[in-house]
Amino acid sequence: MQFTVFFLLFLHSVWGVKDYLYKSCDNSGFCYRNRHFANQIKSKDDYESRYSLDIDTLSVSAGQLSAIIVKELPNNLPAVELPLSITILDGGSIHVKIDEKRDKKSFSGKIVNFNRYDEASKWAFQSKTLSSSNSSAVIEAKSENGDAFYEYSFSDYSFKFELDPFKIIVARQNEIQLIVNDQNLLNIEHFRAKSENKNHLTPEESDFDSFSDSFADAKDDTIPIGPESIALDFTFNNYKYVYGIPEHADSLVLKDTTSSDRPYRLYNVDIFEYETDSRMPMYGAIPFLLASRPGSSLGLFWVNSADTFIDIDKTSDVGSTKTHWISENGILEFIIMVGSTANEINKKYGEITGYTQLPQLASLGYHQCRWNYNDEKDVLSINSLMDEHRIPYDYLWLDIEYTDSKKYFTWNKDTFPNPERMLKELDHTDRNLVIIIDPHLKTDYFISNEAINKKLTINTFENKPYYGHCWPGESVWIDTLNPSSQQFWDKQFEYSKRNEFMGRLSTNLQIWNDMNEPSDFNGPETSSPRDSLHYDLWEHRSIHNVYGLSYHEATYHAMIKRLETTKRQRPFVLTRSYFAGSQRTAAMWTGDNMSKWEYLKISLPMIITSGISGMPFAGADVGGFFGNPSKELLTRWYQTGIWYPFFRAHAHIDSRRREPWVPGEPYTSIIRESIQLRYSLLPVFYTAFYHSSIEGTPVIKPVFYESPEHLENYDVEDQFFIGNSGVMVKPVTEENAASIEVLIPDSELYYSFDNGNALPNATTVSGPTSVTKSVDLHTIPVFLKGGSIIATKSRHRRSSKLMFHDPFTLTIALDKNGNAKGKLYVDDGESFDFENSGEYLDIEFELSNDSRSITSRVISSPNNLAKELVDVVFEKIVILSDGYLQDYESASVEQNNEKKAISVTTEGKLITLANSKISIISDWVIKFGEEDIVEDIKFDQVNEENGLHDEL
Amino acid sequence: MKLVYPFIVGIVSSSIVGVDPADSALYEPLIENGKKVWKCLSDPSIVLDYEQINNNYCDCPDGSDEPGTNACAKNRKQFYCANVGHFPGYIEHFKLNDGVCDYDVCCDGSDEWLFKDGKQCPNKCLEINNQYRKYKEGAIKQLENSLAIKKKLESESLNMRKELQEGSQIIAQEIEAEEIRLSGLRQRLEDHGDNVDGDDEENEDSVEEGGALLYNVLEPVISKLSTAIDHDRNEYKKVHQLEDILLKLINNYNPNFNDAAVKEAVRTYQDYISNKADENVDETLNSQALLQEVVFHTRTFVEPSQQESKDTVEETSASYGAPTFSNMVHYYFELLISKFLNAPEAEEEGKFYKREEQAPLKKSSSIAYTSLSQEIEILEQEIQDSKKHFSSIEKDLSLDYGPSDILRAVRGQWVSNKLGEYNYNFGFFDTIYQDGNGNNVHIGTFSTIEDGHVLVYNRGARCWNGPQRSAKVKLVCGEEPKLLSVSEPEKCEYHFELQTPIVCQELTEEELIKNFKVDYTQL
Repeated sequence: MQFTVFFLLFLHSVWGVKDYLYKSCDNSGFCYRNRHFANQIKSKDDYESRYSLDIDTLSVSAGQLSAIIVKELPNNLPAVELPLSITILDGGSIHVKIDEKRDKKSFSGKIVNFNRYDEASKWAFQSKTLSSSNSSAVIEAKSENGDAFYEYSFSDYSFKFELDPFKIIVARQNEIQLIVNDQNLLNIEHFRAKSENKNHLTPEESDFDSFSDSFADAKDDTIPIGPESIALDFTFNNYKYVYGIPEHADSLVLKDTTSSDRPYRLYNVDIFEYETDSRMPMYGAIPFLLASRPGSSLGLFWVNSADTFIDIDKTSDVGSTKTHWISENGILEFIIMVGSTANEINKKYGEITGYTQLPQLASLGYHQCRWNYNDEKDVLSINSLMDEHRIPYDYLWLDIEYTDSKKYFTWNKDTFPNPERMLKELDHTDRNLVIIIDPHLKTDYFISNEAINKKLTINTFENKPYYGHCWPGESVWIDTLNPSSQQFWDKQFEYSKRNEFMGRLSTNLQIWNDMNEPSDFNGPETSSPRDSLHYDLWEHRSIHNVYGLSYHEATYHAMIKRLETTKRQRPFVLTRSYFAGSQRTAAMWTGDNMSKWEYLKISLPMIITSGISGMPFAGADVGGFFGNPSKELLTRWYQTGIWYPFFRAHAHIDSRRREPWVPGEPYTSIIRESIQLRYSLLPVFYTAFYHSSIEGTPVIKPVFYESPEHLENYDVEDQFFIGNSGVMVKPVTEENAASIEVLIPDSELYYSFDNGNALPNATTVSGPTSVTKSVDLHTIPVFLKGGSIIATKSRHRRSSKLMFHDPFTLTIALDKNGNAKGKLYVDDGESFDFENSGEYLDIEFELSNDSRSITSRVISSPNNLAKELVDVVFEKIVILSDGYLQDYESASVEQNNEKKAISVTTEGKLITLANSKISIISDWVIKFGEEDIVEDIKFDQVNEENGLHDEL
Repeated sequence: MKLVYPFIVGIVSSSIVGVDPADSALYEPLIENGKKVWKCLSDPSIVLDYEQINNNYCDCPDGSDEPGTNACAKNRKQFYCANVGHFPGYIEHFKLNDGVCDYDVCCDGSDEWLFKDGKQCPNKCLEINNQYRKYKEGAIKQLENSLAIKKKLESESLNMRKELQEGSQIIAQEIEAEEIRLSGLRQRLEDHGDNVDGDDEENEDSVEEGGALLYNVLEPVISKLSTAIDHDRNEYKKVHQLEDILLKLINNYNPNFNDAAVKEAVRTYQDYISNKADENVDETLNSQALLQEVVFHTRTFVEPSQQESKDTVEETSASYGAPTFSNMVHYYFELLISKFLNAPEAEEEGKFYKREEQAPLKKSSSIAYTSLSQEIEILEQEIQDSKKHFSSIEKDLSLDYGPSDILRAVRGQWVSNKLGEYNYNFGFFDTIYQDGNGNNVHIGTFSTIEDGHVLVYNRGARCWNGPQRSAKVKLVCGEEPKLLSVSEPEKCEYHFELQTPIVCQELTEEELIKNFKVDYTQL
């Protein structure tokens, strides 16, 4: 009995991140030194910055300012020269770079590349040169009280560049928005030999861990260049709320970190059993921060791929946010973006780093994954059970166990004797398979041997292949920073008979890139040693946060080549590790979460933050990866997961099976209805993705993006909109919930749209107000904002592609003036024809109360696609009027110069235009209250007469 | 490629697409005001134009107006495919007109009648029927084999039952005879007992010195015992230490690394600790205190017979026997061993006395008396054994062994094969255990049969942080006994599928069709 008690006690203390495995600021040399530096400076009132701009070196040309920043050293040492360049980009963004002039001679005898790493931008930016067509941008020399400064004006913004000390002040209509180096925390640890270190230290500096690492697992770090950190502070004046810098399992609004030894950290790690409410590093890193308030927004993109800490100070000046950015090395590079709304910032950020790829439509469907589906039979049985239980799905996943001994590019022949047959069977109902391919390559087989022979691996500090440990045991890592790796990688994915592994497999095969932080089980912080060497002899510490991106990009490009001659051209690649720019080629998920309610809750701010940071194709493992969810938790997770842009259920190998039919009734039915709701809303999601892919709008969009005028909406993190559709969701994430509080964010009408069922009576309030809503296990609380029009497909099919010809339903929610607008994007869902030859349908809907009409305008001109879509119709139009539409007893539709009557039925404030059968491919107008229609023309006849039945 | 939605062709002169001919009367048009109309089947108040049937728009709440499309979320009946040349099929509406040729149900391709002008899926009934006939031939052959085995097993079962019944009759007769013999012997013993009464002097003599002597004799043993106990306690402490170390390991290891050796160690330790936790370790037990007690008792030992009257001794010895020097030592020794070695019998009451029954009662008993009472004892034991045997046979006969007692024939049969990571061993009416890397986990012991084809096993090894393992084993028809699948729908509750001929039945054509899978690659 004694024993039993003792062992239960132990049980309750289990699970929790292994904090000690990951560096805090205090035991991370460069972070400690910069925080120390900051504290010293803040405590001195009379501190004079050592950094000033040498006016003699300054040159200004159109849209560009360059100069040398001089860093004064103690002990009469010669000053350090830090070349500065400031470029004005399109849209008034400014791009700042500060490098260090280093003496090549001092590096003699060292293998490592002697430059500061300046290629984070190469990976993050969409194209090599940023668009600065605005060469007419004038940077004027000015002076004030005898101090010279330079100024650039854009719209109602001014950017003031101060010289001594170096500062940048961004103001709008003379109100200061942002001050760069406000607190004089600019610090660039210049190169010095270890023996001279003492001489080079200023009184404000510490020399903690400058040439060695005292952290338990990192003692072997040779730190060949010594201290070379960079740091700078940014004050967001009168911005209470800042967002972004994923990935953290934390709130949407960034928190004050000044009293913690763990500031927000960006260092891609395979974090084991991460905790919620944490600033600890995770799998991905996007050094982009958004500051937003009613009327104004700012974006800051810190272009650096090294280990980075960000201190957030919200307490020293309440109402404003001071931030301190500290990176281990690399050049100091950042971009400032300005705009009235958060969405403008996303647009500008997307112009630099690229927008999200428009994914294959199928990848927005339901993904069924687990570690692992054991064998071919298991896979095919899941496939048919989905149909038996009427659960639509598009992707089935295979984790590492499909391989022969974790050797990627091989199949376990016992369990998967005939992958070709398996893929064909999945293809029968247009389902896809995803297989995992990780960057660690087991030693001693043809793939790793070739990688080593071709010198394509990550190397040790002595530039010899680095051997670490991962799933397969001893492994080497492919160095995808090496351009030659692409060719090697392409070969493995080739769609040709000579490719033994996947050359014959059908094109419904896609790729999952995991463990690409990279995860190395016996490396420091479970990753590669920082002094490992990559292509061009760059140290791993410099490139760490872009490695994951370089890896999934290599996969994406290999898949592009594999698929380019087929119909399914768009690759789908899921990555765990990512960086700014990853959105161009991959989707992400939040890694190894747990089957607990707090992980369900935190998934929303995490995914919303990802969207704010330009990476909208994001999801969390539905059900939780580690552990076994209760039936209620699993059900609520599905009801929440259907709103994730990337919707995948996944489970650890040791957890029990939990496919939708496992929990039984009533859970299975509720889960089925949830997934079916996702499928009926696929056109809404796809349209949201389209807009995200051209202007950066988050797919699940924070409430303050939709209603930016009210400060009350700025910290809402458990409620969101789907793109610009007007669909607002507040998932239930509380156990045993009987009611929830929903924030009605503005004075517009909000129609109940729970579980996709539209009701014609709206809730309306005068400003942001919480309303209580009772819920039961079935309830998925959804609202449709007045003024919106959405297109959905309500008929259940086995997979998204099989819905292609099914008709649409239009749901129109009138605003207080009785008007509404909406959009629909349609294409073939899988090829690049939309991009290459304009094969897409972009439709704008409008219901105007004044003209008592609904119009649909096609603002694109597809050719082949129109023929494919000739049989696709709007079969039904539902108007939620809340009493705002009058005289709707009769209606007629006119399309292609043909007119026919449409039956109108009304039940209270709900108006239904039934069996409308209006073709989606051309413009049409519905007019209410017209009585002059004599003939009821059958629509197929209309189409026939318009020649739309031509042979393709 | 022609893409048309021929909305009107859903009504083909005599029959409605998707409607079972048996229901065709329900789809006859009505004439109202000179117009062909039709009424929703479960709501005749909804009157439709006849053309609204199968116009790909849902008008009736019961879906009856769209038997041939997927327009309605609910449907009355599944879509009917005539499959001329094969067997008619019924397919779900969500599979209609989606471009997929679901030949396994509609070999005639009629499920895609609206897709690409109905040209998407050409009629393959001929090919599929050929496939089916080949399949049927094979399936029936296999089934015949299975049924033959089953028949053999059935007759074995019946024979076994018959043998058991006969056996139980014989035993019943034997018991009757033995009981008669016993009562005779008892009578003799009673008679003899009168004669030996008063023969107890020797007994008294044998107990002289009492406690002091007992202690002297036992002292070296007790001191050795004390040392041995100390040693064991130290060993046990080490076990505790090791358990602590392992507990830390299982709480802190990284399961994400999925190291097979670590996982195996963790899993087996979890099993070990979970099942150990069930045992009640009595914390009041203190070996030193117990030894003290032994010392005290041996020092103060007084021969019970010295205090008690001869009558009571006699009475006691007849049924139980008195505690004597030797059995006293034996008792404490047993107690110590049982407490420290944690033998489950330790808890049993009256151990001391029960053991007496087997020990010689009295040195002074006459040989005749002894042999007589021994004979009685033996006979009593025999009767008891026979009764036990009898009731076990009776119990067995009353058990549910399925129809014709068929499962009786496989009792004691074992089936072992690998499913996923583990090898499973299944014993009919015995136990199920899972083995992996030499560590066996007890999943359950047979408990009952549900519905004639599900064997329930329970009271298996306790799960880490969960219940005792249990399993339901569903028997499905197949020639070779084999475990087909395992799943764990609830924590530590396993569901197995076991293939065996004993549940095989003749198959109807419908069942054969249902089991048949179209080979699409051959079409």
